[in-house]
Amino acid sequence: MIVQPRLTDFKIIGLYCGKIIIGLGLLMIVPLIVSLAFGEWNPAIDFLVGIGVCLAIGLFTEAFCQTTRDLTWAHGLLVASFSWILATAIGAIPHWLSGHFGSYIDAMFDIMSGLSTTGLFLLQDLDHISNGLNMWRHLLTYAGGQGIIVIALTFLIRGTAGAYKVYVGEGKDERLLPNVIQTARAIWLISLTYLVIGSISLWAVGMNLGQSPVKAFFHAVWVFMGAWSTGGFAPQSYNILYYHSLMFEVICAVIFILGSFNFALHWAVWTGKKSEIRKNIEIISFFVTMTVAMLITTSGLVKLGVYPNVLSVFRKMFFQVASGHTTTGFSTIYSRTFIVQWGPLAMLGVTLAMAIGASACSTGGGFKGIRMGLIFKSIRQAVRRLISPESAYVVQKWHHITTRILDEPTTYSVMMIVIFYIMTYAVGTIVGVFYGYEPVQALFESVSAGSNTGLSCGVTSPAMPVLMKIVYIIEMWAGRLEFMSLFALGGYIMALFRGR
Amino acid sequence: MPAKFRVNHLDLKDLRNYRLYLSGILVEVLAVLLLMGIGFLIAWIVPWIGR
Amino acid sequence: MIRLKHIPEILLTLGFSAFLVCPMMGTQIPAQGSAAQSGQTVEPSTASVPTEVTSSKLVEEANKWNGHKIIFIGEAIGEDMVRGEKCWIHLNEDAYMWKNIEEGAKLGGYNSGHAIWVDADLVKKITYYGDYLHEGDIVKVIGTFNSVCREHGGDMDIHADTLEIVRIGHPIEHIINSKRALLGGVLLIVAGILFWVRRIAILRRT
Repeated sequence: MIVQPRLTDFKIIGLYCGKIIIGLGLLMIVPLIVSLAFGEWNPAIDFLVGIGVCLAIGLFTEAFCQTTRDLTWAHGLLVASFSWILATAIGAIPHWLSGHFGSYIDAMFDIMSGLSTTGLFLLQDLDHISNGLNMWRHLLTYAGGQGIIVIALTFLIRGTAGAYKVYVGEGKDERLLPNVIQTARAIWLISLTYLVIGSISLWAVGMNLGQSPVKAFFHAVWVFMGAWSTGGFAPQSYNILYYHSLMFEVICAVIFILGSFNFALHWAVWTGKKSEIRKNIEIISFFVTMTVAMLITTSGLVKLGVYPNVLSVFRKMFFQVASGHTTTGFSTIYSRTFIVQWGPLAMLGVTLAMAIGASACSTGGGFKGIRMGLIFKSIRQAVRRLISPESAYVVQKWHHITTRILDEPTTYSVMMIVIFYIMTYAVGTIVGVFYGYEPVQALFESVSAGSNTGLSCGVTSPAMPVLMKIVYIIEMWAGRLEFMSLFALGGYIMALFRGR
Repeated sequence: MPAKFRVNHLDLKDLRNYRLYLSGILVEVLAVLLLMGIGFLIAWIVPWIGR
Repeated sequence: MIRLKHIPEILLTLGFSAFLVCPMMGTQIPAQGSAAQSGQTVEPSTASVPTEVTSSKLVEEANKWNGHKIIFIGEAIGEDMVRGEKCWIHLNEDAYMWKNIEEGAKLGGYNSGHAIWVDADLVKKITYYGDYLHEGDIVKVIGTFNSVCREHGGDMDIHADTLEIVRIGHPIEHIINSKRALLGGVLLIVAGILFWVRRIAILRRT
């Protein structure tokens, strides 16, 4: 029997969604201050309007949805998925008011892209936008990478048992510390420490490269945010190519690769368990799949003789493959270059890297290294079972912070989620081909959206068909929340009509 | 082997923790540089084999 | 640590890599990328008659234009990045080079442009760089286009020999949108009222 949602259920969901929207509004204060500091009055007004709408809606919802009940698992998932839709719709207000978007859907596309740390964008004339708007774009990726729910947990929600359920609804389930609020704070410690170190490094290098101190500072903070969150937004339309510097690229790569690591791994290494870095299944899997992807891409590049010397091959190949594998989306080549110069084999290497993605419980996307590693282990176990005597009991171990035994339920859930990701990639590809794009290009772009990478081969553009924009928005949303929250939302809507 | 200094709660006031965190950061950065080394090797060897 | 049990995986990875790399054996690597497509008429001759090219053409036909002397005209954006005696600037040749969105231009797609490597002295001619507050100078450069620059790690760039200003830029007049400011003010007042409503609701609940 499907139980129809009651008023109290709506109230709980409304209450927590309200808090998250208030959080979003408070976040807009940062770009507001930046705009005021630079004398950008109209953007400041745009943010004022955005803050006003967020606070009005959030406070209204909170006021009329007061309840003492705590969240259940279903509520947690629903708050996660629904608040993301709300945030996308309302967070787009400053974007839309800036005048740089062809339609409100374009603005929503950019918000979903930022929050899900994808990095595809439909904003036009990026090189002339205000510093305030640039701050908002990059802050969105930083906040989205942390998880807007983690943010809410830090400031606005008490650490009840229900709070953990909302945290899981957003696709993280690692308990770094016994209490979920403590876990959220530990995640912040790691992110903020790297923010300071990373920004200062990029600032120093930027100034050394000839940038003015103020510009270098903001670029450093913004590029850091885009890198750590594996988002991929950059302040100029040239993306990381703008800096023309090996040192800058190396630091960026270090930041975005570290950003793609599991927060639980960071915590383990930071708190004395340094061996974790070489024992962890995700790190091993990442190194293996990176090597394979790099080999495929390099073969493609060398076959076509694209780059004239080893350093160029390394710089371009490594940056794009690592950017793809960590689902960052920074690039040091133009989008069309993938098609015009790199060719299909190199593109497929990058596509494979993007599809697999980063580590779980990180800022990255894709179907995650842990699942890739577990699939390898499952295959190994299956092969060992085949060659062992029938009565033998084959035990496959895997290590992630602790050593565990690979059991059927784990294998089952891993396979299911990977299948959902592949289906998502497939749907996007089919839609792309339907609209006349070449299969390799449609696949590349669809995987980029679904894995929240953000590398583009030129398919994404303001002139793209509306249906494709909507499909990509859904892909980014689904990929970021890892499906469960979406299914919960779908199920809830069904229960509204079919439940009693 | 002596028991490694471990932390299982968040204590921002204990200064020993910060040294531990910093050494952790160093280990992580080195791991990434190792990956870059592998990338460079691939960029070097593949064209050489192809020739 | 690498143990005996890891050997099958290592062999598999090496084997797979060998499978990928074997087709490479015997492949001649062209001297200068796929520009070595003999028989294809390459526009303007390698004799130094520079041709004006758009930025998208340079990307779409990168190999064709590689190594040729070209004329490129675009709006200087961002800032100059001086590195010793040379300098990087970026010229945008797109729908916004004459008038950008902040000045009321119609939407016309993404920015499109190229990176220019030029003498730092020449760059001093540029007054305005395009950003939120400025429409940048329109600059004309003549130089060699590199689809994959050897000197700059494979970047696509133009090594310019000359630089002229076609049109000087200007600061942009932004008129403050007072209606919107009023809307913002009203919304904040509404939010303030709702804040008290919420407070009452919480107190009532407890």
